[in-house]
Amino acid sequence: MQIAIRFARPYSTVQILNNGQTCTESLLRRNSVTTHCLELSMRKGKSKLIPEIISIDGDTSASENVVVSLSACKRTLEQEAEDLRRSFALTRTIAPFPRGQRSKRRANIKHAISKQKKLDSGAFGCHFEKLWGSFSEDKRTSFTYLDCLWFYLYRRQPYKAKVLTWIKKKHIFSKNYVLVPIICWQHWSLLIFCHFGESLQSKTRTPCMLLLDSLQMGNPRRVEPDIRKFVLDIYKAEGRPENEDFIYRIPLLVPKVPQQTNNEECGRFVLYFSKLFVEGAPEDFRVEDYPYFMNENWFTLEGLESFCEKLGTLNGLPLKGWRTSGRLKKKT
Amino acid sequence: MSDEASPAPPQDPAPSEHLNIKVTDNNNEVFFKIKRTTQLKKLMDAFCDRSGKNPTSVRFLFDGTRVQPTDSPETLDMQDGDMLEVHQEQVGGC
Repeated sequence: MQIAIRFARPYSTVQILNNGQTCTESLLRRNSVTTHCLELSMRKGKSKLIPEIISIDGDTSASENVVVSLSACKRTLEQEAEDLRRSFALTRTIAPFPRGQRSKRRANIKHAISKQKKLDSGAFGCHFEKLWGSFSEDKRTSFTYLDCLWFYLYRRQPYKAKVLTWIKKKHIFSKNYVLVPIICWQHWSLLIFCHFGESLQSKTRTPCMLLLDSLQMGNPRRVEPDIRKFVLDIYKAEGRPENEDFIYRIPLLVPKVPQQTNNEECGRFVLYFSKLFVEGAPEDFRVEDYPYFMNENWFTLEGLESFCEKLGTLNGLPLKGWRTSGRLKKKT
Repeated sequence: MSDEASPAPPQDPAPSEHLNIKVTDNNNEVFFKIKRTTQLKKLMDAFCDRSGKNPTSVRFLFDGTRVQPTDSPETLDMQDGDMLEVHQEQVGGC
């Protein structure tokens, strides 16, 4: 049995979770299982919760003695209640709790994850960084990439401005190409900025964008409005002289590339797109010569498969499943 | 161990040896006190433990960059009062 603390307005309640089921007040009332519910008023004297400081270091006994309290932000209380119910975000043990039991529960979660074949941003990022490290020095100077969650975070209001400041540090206007992995609506695709530092009049290099998507029938251009806003904000944040009209006229090209045959492969396709594009991209990308090598016969599925296998061993981890952190290590 | 000719006397450890780091996932804020040389894995596990998250399903960002469990405040050049953000990993397939 686990005990969770949930903060609700105007007081906090302590609830008992029964077999993982959160017993909400209304549910309890309906089922009259009042014995399962402890209610504690946490408002003795102070209405504000004391921020918690957890000490990480020190001897083991010290960490056991740390008094834990949870700080909740007043602003988000209502939203929080909903989130918490879903994620057990504030679940913690109060009474001494047998360690083994807890880790068993977690091991089950881990097991479920290693079974799935779709790539999450953690696994994707890890493989992408390994892949990046395998490119030559030259390539790593003339190319750069944005973290695979940045575009996703940009689309979420509280992080928009932050993402733009992070991008500034990437100096994308001095790079030939910028790889931007995109995860949107649970689908991976690869956006590439080409020659953003050049003017639209340049004869040798055309500033443009490529969107490589292994699921053409999903209409890759549905993310175009977001991409346009993203690019406009990047130009603005960098204080570039180009005007809005120029930025909206930057071509967004969607070449016909090899397609996935199931509903889980897109992450691997994006990794392979990245590898092959970096290796094959011309020094000067011109829209006149588009689509270069990016056609339906760019690569075979066998090629993709052997690439994934190699990347998996390079990483010491299979390309499905992936990360094991300390306590979650599976017994082998 | 890493005495680089620093005159710090051993009986009086510098107060800056520990850092206070704020960890936030947009709903919760938790403050951690951690040594400069301690691996952040400990902090990450502690946060996940307390907020009931699976460590494999979240990502910690420091200034936009993913924090590796083997990083320490020292390797990331963190200052007292710096913040780590916790984001849910996203899954993509179809």
